[in-house]
Amino acid sequence: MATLPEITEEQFSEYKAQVEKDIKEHAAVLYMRGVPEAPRCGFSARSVAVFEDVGVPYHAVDLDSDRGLWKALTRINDWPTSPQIFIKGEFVGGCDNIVEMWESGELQQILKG
Amino acid sequence: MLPHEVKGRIESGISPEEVIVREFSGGTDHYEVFVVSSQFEGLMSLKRHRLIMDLFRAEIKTGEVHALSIKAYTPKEWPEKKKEFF
Repeated sequence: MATLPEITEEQFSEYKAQVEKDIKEHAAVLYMRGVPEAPRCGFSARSVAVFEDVGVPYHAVDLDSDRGLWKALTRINDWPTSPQIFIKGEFVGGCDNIVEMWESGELQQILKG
Repeated sequence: MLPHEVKGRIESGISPEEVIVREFSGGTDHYEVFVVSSQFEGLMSLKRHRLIMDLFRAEIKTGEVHALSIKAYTPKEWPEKKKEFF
């Protein structure tokens, strides 16, 4: 995470459009390190576990394979770390936040209710 | 960033009632912080976390702080949560 690449304004716009498309098409979007079958960080792994427990489809995007996207997300959400999670089109934060929403039952209610 | 520096940053940043800092990698860059502050009253989880995250923006950018897990509670919520975590 130390060295995210610089991106041009044009690249930023493209990434932003991609994120907007992702969150419009999927009720739950998880921008994470690695893939659900092989997460590359503990916080991404825990976030995957939360979605698996809830048992609804979620869209996972690997930030390690596209670090420009990661850079763009830090700007879009004004949030510096991974993972970054959207529920119903809204940025809800990272691992700590999704775990809190899951523990309180809010997440299940939003996605299944 | 050393644990006492992490604690000091939070203390001077938002004057919390209580701060507990744990490093969980065996080094000095993976932190879990428990912050208790009346400033969190009426704020959703994400806004509470932003208040803390913003204090470490520079170090997260350089990688000096690689991971920052935040638990942010009001003085009212804390006794129950403390039992859960400690």
